[in-house]
Amino acid sequence: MTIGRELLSKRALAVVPRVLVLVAAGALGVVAWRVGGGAEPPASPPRPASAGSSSPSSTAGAGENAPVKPGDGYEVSVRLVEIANGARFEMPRADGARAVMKAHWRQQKPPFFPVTGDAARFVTTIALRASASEMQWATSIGNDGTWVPDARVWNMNEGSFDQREAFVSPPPGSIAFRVNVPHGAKLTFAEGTVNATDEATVFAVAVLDSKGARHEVYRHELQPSAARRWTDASCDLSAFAGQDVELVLSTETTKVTESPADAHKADRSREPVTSGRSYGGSGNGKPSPDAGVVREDALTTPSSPVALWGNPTILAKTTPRLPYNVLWIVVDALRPDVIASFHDDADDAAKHAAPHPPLEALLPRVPGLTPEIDDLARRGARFTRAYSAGTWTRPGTLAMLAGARSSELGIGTKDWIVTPSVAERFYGSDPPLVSLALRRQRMTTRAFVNNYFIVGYAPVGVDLGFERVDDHRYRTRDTFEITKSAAQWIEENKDTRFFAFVNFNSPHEPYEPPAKYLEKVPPPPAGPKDEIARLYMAEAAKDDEAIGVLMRKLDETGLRDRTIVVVTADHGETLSSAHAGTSGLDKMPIRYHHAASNYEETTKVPILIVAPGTIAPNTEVKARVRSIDIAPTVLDLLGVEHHARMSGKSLLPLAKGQADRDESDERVVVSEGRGSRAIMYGRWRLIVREGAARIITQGDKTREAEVELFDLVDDPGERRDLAPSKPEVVAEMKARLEAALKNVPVAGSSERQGALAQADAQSPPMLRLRFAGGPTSRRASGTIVIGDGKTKPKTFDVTPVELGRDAFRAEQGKIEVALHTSPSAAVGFDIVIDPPSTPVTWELWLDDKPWPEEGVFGGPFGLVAPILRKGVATDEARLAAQSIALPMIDAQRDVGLFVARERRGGDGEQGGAASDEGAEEMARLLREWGYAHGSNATAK
Amino acid sequence: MASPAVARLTTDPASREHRKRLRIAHNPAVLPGSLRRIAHGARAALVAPPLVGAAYVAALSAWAGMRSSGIDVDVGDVGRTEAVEAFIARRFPAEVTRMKIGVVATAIALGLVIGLVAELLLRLRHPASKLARRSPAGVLVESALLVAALHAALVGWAMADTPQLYAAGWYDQGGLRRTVQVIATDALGPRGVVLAALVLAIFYVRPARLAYVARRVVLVARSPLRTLAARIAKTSIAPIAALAIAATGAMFVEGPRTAKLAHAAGPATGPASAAEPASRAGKPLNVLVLAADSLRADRVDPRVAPNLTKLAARSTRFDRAYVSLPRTFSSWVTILTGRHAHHHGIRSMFPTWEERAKDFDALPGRFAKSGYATGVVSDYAGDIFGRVDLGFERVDTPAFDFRQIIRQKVLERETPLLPVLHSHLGRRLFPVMRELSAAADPRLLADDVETALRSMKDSPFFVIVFFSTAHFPYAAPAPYYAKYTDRSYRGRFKYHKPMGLGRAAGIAPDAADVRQIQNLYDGAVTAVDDAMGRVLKTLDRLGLAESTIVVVTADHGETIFDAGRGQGHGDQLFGDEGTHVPLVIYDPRLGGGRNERAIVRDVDLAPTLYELAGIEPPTDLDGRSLVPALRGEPIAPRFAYAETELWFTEDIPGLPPALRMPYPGVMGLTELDARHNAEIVLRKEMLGVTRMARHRMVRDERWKLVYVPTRAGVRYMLFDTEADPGEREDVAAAHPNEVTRLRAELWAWMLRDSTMEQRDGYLVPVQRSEPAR
Repeated sequence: MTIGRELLSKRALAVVPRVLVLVAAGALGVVAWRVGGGAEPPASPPRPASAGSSSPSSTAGAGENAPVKPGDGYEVSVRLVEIANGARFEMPRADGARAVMKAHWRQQKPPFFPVTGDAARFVTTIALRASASEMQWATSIGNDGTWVPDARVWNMNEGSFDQREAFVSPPPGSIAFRVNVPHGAKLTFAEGTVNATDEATVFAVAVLDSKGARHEVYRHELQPSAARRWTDASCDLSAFAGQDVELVLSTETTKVTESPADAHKADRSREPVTSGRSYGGSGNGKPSPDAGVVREDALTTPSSPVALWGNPTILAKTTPRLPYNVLWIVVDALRPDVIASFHDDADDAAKHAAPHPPLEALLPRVPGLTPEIDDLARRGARFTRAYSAGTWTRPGTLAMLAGARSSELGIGTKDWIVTPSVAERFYGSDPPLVSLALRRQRMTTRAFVNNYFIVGYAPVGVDLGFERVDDHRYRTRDTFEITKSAAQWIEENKDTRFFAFVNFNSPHEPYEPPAKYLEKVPPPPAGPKDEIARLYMAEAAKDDEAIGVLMRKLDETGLRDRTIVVVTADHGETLSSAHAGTSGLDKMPIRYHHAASNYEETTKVPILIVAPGTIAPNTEVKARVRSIDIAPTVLDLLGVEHHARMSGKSLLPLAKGQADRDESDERVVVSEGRGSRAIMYGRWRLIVREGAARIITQGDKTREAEVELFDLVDDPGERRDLAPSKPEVVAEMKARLEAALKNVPVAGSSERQGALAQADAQSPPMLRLRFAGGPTSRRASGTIVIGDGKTKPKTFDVTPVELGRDAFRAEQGKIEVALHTSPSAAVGFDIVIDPPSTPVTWELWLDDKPWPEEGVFGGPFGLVAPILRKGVATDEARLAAQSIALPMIDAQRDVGLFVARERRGGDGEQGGAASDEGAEEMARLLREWGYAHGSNATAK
Repeated sequence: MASPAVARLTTDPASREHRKRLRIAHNPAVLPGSLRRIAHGARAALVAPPLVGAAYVAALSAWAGMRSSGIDVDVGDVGRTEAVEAFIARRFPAEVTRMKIGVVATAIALGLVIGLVAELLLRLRHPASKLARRSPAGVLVESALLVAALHAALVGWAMADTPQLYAAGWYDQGGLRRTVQVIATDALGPRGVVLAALVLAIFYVRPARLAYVARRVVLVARSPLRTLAARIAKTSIAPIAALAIAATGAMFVEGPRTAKLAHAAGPATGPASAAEPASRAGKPLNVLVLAADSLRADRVDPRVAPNLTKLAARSTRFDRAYVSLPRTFSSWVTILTGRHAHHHGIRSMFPTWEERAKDFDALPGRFAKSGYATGVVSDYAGDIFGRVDLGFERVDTPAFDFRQIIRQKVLERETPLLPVLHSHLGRRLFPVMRELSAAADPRLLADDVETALRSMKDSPFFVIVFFSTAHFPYAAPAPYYAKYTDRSYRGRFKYHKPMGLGRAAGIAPDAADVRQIQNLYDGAVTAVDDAMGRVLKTLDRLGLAESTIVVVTADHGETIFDAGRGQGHGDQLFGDEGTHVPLVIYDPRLGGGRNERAIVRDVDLAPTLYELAGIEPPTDLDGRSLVPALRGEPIAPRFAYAETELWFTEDIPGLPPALRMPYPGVMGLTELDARHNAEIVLRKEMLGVTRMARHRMVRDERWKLVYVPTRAGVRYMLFDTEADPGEREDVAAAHPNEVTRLRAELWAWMLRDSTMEQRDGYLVPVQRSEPAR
């Protein structure tokens, strides 16, 4: 045998160890790959972490441990969907359910709390029919029959739905939660199935008490005739109060007990009436065959029902902490001049007497048209000069519920449809929505709407954080349907603190009022000349009647005195002939519509807030206010903290007649429409248009209007565009708009000084004086006088810093100074004076020469401040010295006196996130990246 | 150990005899079969070179892992280093353990492979019969020596190829270690190391023995090719064997290149590319942005960047392109949004989570919406693309978070493994290797770009390629680091310019150092230029050259001791070096060969690309399209504006304290954001002063005005860039009219920052009123 043979083919076995070695090397490579990070998905850019991770569940958790007193009502103790991550799921038939769920016509992931792990498969936000007679349409756009959200789906979906956060529980299945049962607890939930089958579904609730004994507290068989809609239920848990128990929600199937005839009767389907209404140019809304639209019942016929637990919530009997319920009514496109009580005869007369009268831009006062709103106006505060921050529904509604303009929330106002990434970012950013804030305050939150633009997480609109949404979409009946379900729900939940958001979609165009309301609008001159405006007003009368139904429900349930009622609109409506035309953007009509303009007519809305016991009845506020101010007001009325991103300002001081110093400067009114923005300031309104929105077609004339400027005093109807003749005003207003868009005070506003006094009142400032003499030790001496002839300090307190007690003598409102500066640290005093406005003056010498002119520095940056040379005696000087901390003083280099008037606590606190060790690591990194050049980079 | 070759040859024919004897020795009758096999197996295992190799490399790696990394040692303060390590161990214990497991696994795997090669050599050298006769201990020692030699050769090659990665552990340590690395880099070079290793290997096996083995191999291979092979073998057996080994070695030397060759040899690229432009006629054009961090405009010349110069010759070249915030993060967001930093909000390298998590409405997002595949490919400087969502679908950049930093820390001291870690395979195993600043190898990145382009070429694409190598530490691999430098240089910056490291940082570089650093930078630029050239060739090969708009630019320039100003970017606006960047735009539809002399800005690029691609731009852009210039039409004069970023230390060469607002050093400026992955963010309370203290400038084609706020007041400095291109002399006093004119322009720009307002001549943050409660 040869060596060559040995090497190549001695025995097949000889190869084995080599192969083994290579395999081992490969296996180790895989290990390295996995731990080294190669197996990890590639880096993805940061997106805001999903919000609410801290709040909802932790609030509930804290509440479980808090002592709970018996009381007269209920508040939410824990929403089981929010503790889904801790639940135990046993769902052997989950896979079968997936296909059924996938084909469901409308479901979303719950956006407001992070659901992970196993729970993510079983928690959803899902819409079912609002009643047995509704028929929903499913789309099978996409080859796999997956439901793809699409604006068209909403438009054609004439009908109603009832959307809840739910657990999916394909029977047999069970979900177990560890909960602490509060006092007088009850569990409320809704039963539902996604599909109708030939089996009934058993919903059972069992409690495993602290001793391990099992108690079944609820059992119900849901018949197939009740499929695809919610059946509300509740059970009592008070027997387990105070115990840590395991709560088990289980579902199983059983034989049907109802007769087939009943089932057929109940499950009959009604052909939906399709709507002629069109949003976003999406056609007449008829289901088009090519879109793959099918009726929901045609989609699947699985053998077993997929059960749903809707909004399972444990309510605790207690005295609710919040003083009021909230009933927030939005009448889409309602102008304030429709409401008689929002008219002021003198104002109207002044407008008509203006050089350019408004004509039909101001509707005539028609007493008795809206008696219910007028009645509410007598009970609370009406803001007669209020403006919406958006001129169409999504921005308008967002602004009022978030207390911030749509663009501040990162949601543009030009496109009808929000892209999924924008929506996701919005939800992930912990949006400042009042609905979320109140949800965290244990209110039950509910929306009754007809609104494409706020329902539909992701592509169409925003669901705005309501745990349950009822959407009624009928051409003419919607207002009544919404009212009916809202009234019924108030009745059922009268013991529970609630936030109910009711949104009527009329008098939004098309105006189709039933005849009896048209009769309420008188002929001209008492009524409007324009026929279509008459229709519009009649629509408003219809909504007024609906509001009346809700108010009577509040009376019946005894909730009137415990409920804040807000009536407002998401935007106005353009009715004036001066504004007829079509916008270049989607060929939007401007007159008899909104969205494409920003006129007084389009932006002015009524705001009416009734808070019995807090806001005096029949209050009229004439100051200019904004729809973004409503949410902070409601939170103030409830005593709930504002979200930091709310840019609106509470209306409560105004409503209480306490127009404080803050109100000396008018609130900046900015409204955003489709491709346009406007600002009001003083007597001017400036409208800026962008892109296609600049093109306006009137008849066969087309003009381009990039900016429009109106004088609201001389020309309240906004008929004469002054932009060409007043470029200087345009420039000023543009600057104001730009500043306002960035949400900063307008130049020249007096807010800062007012804020100073206010801040002083909240936390008294500390006056910090530091002497720096550069590399050599120098002598500083002189006298600091506290108080003057008029004001004497009540007390003052001096703390030396890096100085001995012998460096100064404090007595009788005077501090005698005689000290030496140090090259290693700035030396001086911290002085606290009460009252803070006491003037402080000084006369100082450096090395026995008068203190150098350019040697006094003040404020947060230590800038040269000649105004402080003689002391801090005036408001201006105080402002120059105002700082959240001492500036950095380089004792080796700086020469001079540094003055900082620093407030204690609050802002001055540091972020504090960094530990010393973390900081060291950071320094090392910065050096490695090359951003720190030497070892002194670590010197603080 | 080695007997004379002649003797060996004569013993060979006798091997049959040995075998016989062995068979007798292992007579089944003497020992039970199973026991015999076990004994044999145990002996084989003892000497199996793969095991020896695994043990050797694992031990080396463990030893290296126990040492502090060179960088930490160099920081000088052992106590502090320990504190950092303790912090990491306490806070992220699992991560460190995980990484160590990965390192050990890699070490063993590498050792096994080296061991296999060692075994091959061993068996080549010794006839099996002889091997069987030798004592296990002898074989063990020989295997170990072989393994050590092979590993040393590997490290030696890598040390010459990417010396920066090894400098801290070898060159900087002085003495023998320095000599070893200098020999590897200067005397041998990477090819020399491979050659030397091959010669040694052949010498070890012995040419005669090699020839004998090869002949035997040919004899045994009873294939139809046998005759042919035999003929070849007869003529040149030794060279062929050498070639075979060389090929194995080449796999290591040029792993990625072989892959590329395979592509090039593949069918269909040639003919298809000719037909493709026509078929793509209706399709939107692709956009490829080739960018390099810290690439100065004046380096795009035929000497240093021949490829880019060639491209510029057939494109429109903008001779005066300026960026407005010369640091990477802000600058990219500015370029890609077409908005100045005070509008998009990213104003430092350390923006908070809230500042980053918003809709920037940037180029990539809009291109993606219009049906483009969008992506960015980069190495360490590109980690910013993972920290902000600008709309890219594919972000092929290293991740940046605290875990990555820990991984980096564990890996950077694994010198014995670095040769494999710094390769495509290593980067795939440990993606954090791409985050190592000294390991920014443009050759590897060009390969990544090719992969990305291949996968994206079927739809119109918008791709940014961002090379980090020209950023300090200017760590270019061989041969680039030595291309312009003086070989006899033995200073601190032989292979790269590490920043601010410990004791050495205090010593200012002398003239030789400065020359060396400038030459290192030029080498890095050439490395990037070659890689960009390769990307352009790839484009050509894929048939995309005539359907792709190519843009060459940089996020900022670099001051490299120009006019006594130290080195870096973003600290100061004196001198053009930091803000002046190259800008070359190639559009296949428009002719080339134009030089535009007018000033253009970073914010002008986005509107230009929107217009070229026919995509509707946002309405609030700060820039204006440059398309007229591409068509050869005149463009309106523009002002370029800029502001500085953060200052991290008190002494910045060229920026005396008198021209600065004092604020704390880096430790006082930043903190770790505990809520978001312990990221480094600017302290909230430092926001005001760091914004207020920035220098800001405006310039037209001749004059440049710099706004310099100081404690004692605002100073305006005017430079005549024509008469004084180094910007050494402030001529504000002599040209009051220019100062007045430019000051108005500058203030108009500065006040567009809605977070700032003018007070007493300073630009200061707006004081917001407290929310009323």
